Amino acid sequence: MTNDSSLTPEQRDRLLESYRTLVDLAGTCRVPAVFAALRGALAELRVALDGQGVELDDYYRPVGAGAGN
Amino acid sequence: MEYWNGRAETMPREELERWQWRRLRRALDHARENSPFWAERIPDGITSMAAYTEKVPLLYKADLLASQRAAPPYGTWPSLDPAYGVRHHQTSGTSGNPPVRTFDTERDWKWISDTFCTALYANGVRSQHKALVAFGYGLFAGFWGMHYALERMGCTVVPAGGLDSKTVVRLLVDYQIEVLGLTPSYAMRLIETAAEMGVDLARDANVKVMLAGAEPRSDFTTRTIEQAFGARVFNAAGTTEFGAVFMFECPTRRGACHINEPTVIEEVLHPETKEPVGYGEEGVRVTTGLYREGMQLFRHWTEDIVVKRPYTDCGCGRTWDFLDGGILRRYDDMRKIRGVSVTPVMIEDVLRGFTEVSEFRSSIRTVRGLDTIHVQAEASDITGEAAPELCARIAEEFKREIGIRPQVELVLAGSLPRTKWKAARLHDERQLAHA
Repeated sequence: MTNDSSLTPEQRDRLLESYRTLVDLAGTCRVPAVFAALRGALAELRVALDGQGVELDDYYRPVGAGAGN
Repeated sequence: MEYWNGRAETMPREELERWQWRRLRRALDHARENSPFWAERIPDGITSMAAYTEKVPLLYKADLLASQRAAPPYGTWPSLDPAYGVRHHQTSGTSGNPPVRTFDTERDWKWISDTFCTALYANGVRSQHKALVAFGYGLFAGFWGMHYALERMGCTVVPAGGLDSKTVVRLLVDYQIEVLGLTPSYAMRLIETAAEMGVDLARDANVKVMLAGAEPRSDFTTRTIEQAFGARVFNAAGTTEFGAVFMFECPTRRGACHINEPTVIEEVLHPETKEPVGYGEEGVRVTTGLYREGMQLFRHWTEDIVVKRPYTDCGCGRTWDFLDGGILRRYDDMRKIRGVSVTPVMIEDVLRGFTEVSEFRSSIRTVRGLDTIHVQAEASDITGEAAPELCARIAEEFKREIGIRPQVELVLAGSLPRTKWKAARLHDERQLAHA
């Protein structure tokens, strides 16, 4: 038996959209507890997107760089 | 066949190679722009994989250590401000060198955990399994990544770091642990402890999957562990310098350790000429990391002797080439004794063949101008005339298998050191004598 190996194009787009939304939020968020959650979630999403062969423009920009958190 | 990430693990080869090149290009740009160390070593104008291997020099451990000595703790090596690090690790120092120090960003650490997940899932670990990680949980990265990976997969993890071996054996039995992570040395220690306690691990415990890493081991050791636990032992390896698990053993073909190629390029070079060797030929593994953002690695000469084979030689469906037998030995672990090449694994292979021997330590010494191997072996319940007879049999087996007759000394049971991490059982004392 082979398990599902790839996302559908729609799933991939939604994952990417979620990532972009969280990047925007992390750039402005000043609530430490929420920012910590965003940083963890973004790190996970980057790994997931990477595993699906999705390249990101901000590949090497650390989450929160310049955000002052 | 089930995969942790089928998209990455079964990517058509041509697409995988294009992916590696795109990733390498970006990694090189990031390094040149942000790391003084790499800016000095990586020339401009690398436009192909061939140009990369031609123009970028090999990186030796001494290069990293020199950088870290000049600007402690991390040297000029990092490509990001270490303030972005969420954890610090350093090499174990079993080779006698000062440790190489690294940090990981949050994303680096998630990636490291994910490479462990890839290995564990391939080996049959699933969510809700009960797992125990018998590891020192210190500065050495070792099985830290496995712990986080098991949590990430939804397993229940028992961290058995500071516990004595009897407690670990009891936990294995009482909690019916299904997944066990440890070094081969420590697995042997648990077998010994269980026997002292009257516990039959294969009958009383419930271990199904064992991930035994961080040390080269002999086939005999693997078979002994599998038999005692009644479980399959899988090989996997990572390094502190690279950060993640670069290879894991496939359940489809014993000894086939697939390279996690979307995240790493593994060249295999001749140890003397430094020229690439072909599939099926022994050479030294040279690593380029494609993912880590904080501390990048380009063309790292690892000293690991490996044999690479094409993915088509394994029938699991992954398109990742594999290292046959994993890390066979370390190039810098090989010692010449009277013209004979000897490695720790060769010595282990001989001694593990004696069921009377529970632990051992060997050293190379110069006695009256002649290099020789000195073996200390623990053999409980061996007394009287049986003791010299056992020593003679061990010496004879060494002579037959390795070509050198050692001095063999039996020592008290429990007197030699045990370790939960990398064991060092071959000590070259010739330099000490000459110093």
